[in-house]
Amino acid sequence: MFVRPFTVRRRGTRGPSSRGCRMSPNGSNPREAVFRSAFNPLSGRERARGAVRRLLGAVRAAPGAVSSFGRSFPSPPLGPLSFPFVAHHLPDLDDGPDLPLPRTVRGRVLLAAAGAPVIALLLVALWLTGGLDDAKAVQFKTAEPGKAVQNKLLKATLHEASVGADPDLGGYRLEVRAELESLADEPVPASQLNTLFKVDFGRKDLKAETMRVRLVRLPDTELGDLQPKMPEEVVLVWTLAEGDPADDKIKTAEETFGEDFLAEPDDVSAQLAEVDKAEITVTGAKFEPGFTDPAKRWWTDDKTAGVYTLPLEKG
Amino acid sequence: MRAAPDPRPARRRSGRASTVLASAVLLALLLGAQALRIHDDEDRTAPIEASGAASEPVDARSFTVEVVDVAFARSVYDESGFSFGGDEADAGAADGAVEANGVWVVVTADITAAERTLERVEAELETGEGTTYGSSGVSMNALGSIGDAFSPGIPRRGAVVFELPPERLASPSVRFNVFSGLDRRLSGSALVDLELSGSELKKAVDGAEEAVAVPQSEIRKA
Amino acid sequence: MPPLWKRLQLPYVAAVAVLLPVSVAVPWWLEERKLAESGAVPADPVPAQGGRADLAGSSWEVRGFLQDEFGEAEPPPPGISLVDVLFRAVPSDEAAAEKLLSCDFRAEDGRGRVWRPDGSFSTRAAVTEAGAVTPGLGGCADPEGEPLPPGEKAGVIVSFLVPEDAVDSLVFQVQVDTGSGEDEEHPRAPVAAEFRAEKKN
Repeated sequence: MFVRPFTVRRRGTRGPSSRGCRMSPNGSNPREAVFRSAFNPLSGRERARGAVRRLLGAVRAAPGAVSSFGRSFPSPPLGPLSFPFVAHHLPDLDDGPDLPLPRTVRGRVLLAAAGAPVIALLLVALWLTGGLDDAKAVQFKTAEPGKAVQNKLLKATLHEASVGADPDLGGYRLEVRAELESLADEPVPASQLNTLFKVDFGRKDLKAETMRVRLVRLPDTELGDLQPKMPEEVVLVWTLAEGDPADDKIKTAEETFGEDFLAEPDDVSAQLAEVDKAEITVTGAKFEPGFTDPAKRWWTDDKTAGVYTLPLEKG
Repeated sequence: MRAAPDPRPARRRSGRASTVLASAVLLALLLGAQALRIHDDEDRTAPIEASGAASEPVDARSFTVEVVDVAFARSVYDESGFSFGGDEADAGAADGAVEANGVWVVVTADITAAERTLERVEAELETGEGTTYGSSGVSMNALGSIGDAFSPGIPRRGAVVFELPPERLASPSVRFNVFSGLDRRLSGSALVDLELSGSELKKAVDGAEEAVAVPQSEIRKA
Repeated sequence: MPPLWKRLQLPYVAAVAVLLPVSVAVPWWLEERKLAESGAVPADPVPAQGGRADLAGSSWEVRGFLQDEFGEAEPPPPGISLVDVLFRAVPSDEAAAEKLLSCDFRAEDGRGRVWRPDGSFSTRAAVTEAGAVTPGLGGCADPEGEPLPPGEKAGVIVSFLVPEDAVDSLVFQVQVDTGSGEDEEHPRAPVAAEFRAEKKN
């Protein structure tokens, strides 16, 4: 048979085997057989058998073997003709530092199967203990009445607290006489001060609702904006209602604007008769845009700045 | 097979140079345009501000404002208007005067809308040392929430009232934002330098009057 | 070498030149129409012919203009004029009378400044004695706030306080809604007419 020497390929064309090939029964071009027989001692079928043998050998090989492939594979004749075998190797697991992990595929599968439940258990434990949120400050910062507590927005000094009937709205209210001084550089609407103060009576059935701020020097006026760096004597007023303060679920539209809205305010006199002090927490503040509103405003950052325990004057 | 060498290499090189030059010019323009963009969403639709001084009318495109008086006081009260029939206006309840937590600054200004009727005024006092004070809600007569409208070409004179610690005043300016409806976006705003500072300011504050009346707003001669 | 028109991609250039303005103009026109229908922008006024116009089933006719007729009311400061426009409106039926409740008025001068009616002069004796309608928040209605009687002539007096220099170039626009505006199926779709001032002093 005439064997064509391997000539320089013309630019822009492919090799001779790509032009109008006829396929032989075992899937290869008869002309290819010429080259194959010249460079590869094994036929196609024999090479496939070799590959399967290699795979089985890798799985069966003992852990810690340096190169399982090299072991079970019949070592090829050395020399330039051996390069086709190297090209068919599976990737070598040997590079990289020596880790105490199983070398074999089966070993790794077993490790994963054993480790997954452990990791799942750890995740459950993490979730049960509160997840990755900031840990709440455990150290209580107690503040004496009359001593100032400061956060990023303001300096607050709470003096005394009293509870009594609300002549304007019916129901009952908690009033705390305090001094506020804003440390910001711009006026702050009083509505943004609401979340910075939290009231706890220590009872599950008594809670304080939205806070309003009244000026002492103008008894009929509610505070509009807290002006910067100007101490104001104020009265913080909370309407009291029944219910669990931890029950934070957001009211639906029907609940907020339905019959509840115009209902009679709660009669909490029974609970009030039993409490004689209130714990008022002043939290930290941060100045940030809202969730949907890009305008920046003041929010609580849920960290405690100070806790006042104030005795309640009744009446 | 390689083609024959290009017969006009000089043309190709100058073509490349002009491409480089054009790209550099376009890039510079792009960077300039990008620098002019306002990135903060809120700032993009914030009121458009003009500045000026108290001695002249300040044109904020949708209105002009001229500050006519700046008064300092220890207390302020609302001057009541004329009753029906045009009798003597009573001097208002001077005993209803509100003492300042600091000092009151009463700024009287003429505001004239330009093309469309405007209804709302929001005013702020910038102290010049970094703090800003909002107008006080204590006076009902002061320009503020719902009040009389500003019709085009018809000046309306009114007062805005601020309360602040006197030591905060350095070189105050007042910002007037006059707009219609509830939407302040892209409305006009004028920052007027009150041209008071140093010893002159101190003298004015020290000489603060005991009580100053805040009149209702009224239209002035066109 | 392909022909010049093919090389310059002329077909594509022509397509872009046609489609680009269309793709910009059509949404703009649709949005403008939607805004006009919803009443968010004032309606484009139709000039009245001979002092007469028909709006949403009512006929409007301008009867006269007055300037600076203060009567016993306090006159404004110098440089400011009070301009009264007297209309006669006749609603053709009950539906037209209902629509008159949405009546709105504007005065515009040559410089493009726009004024709204000033209600503080509606208590002048001359006005109340004439029994004229002075449109307020309730629109053009009778003294009880009910729609005007159909088929009957109603006198409407609208007053504007404008700077003196604007009086000569003032035009007056009357706007009425043709729909209830209660939902998208029934947009407000206001219509407007414009009356020019012929001053009688």
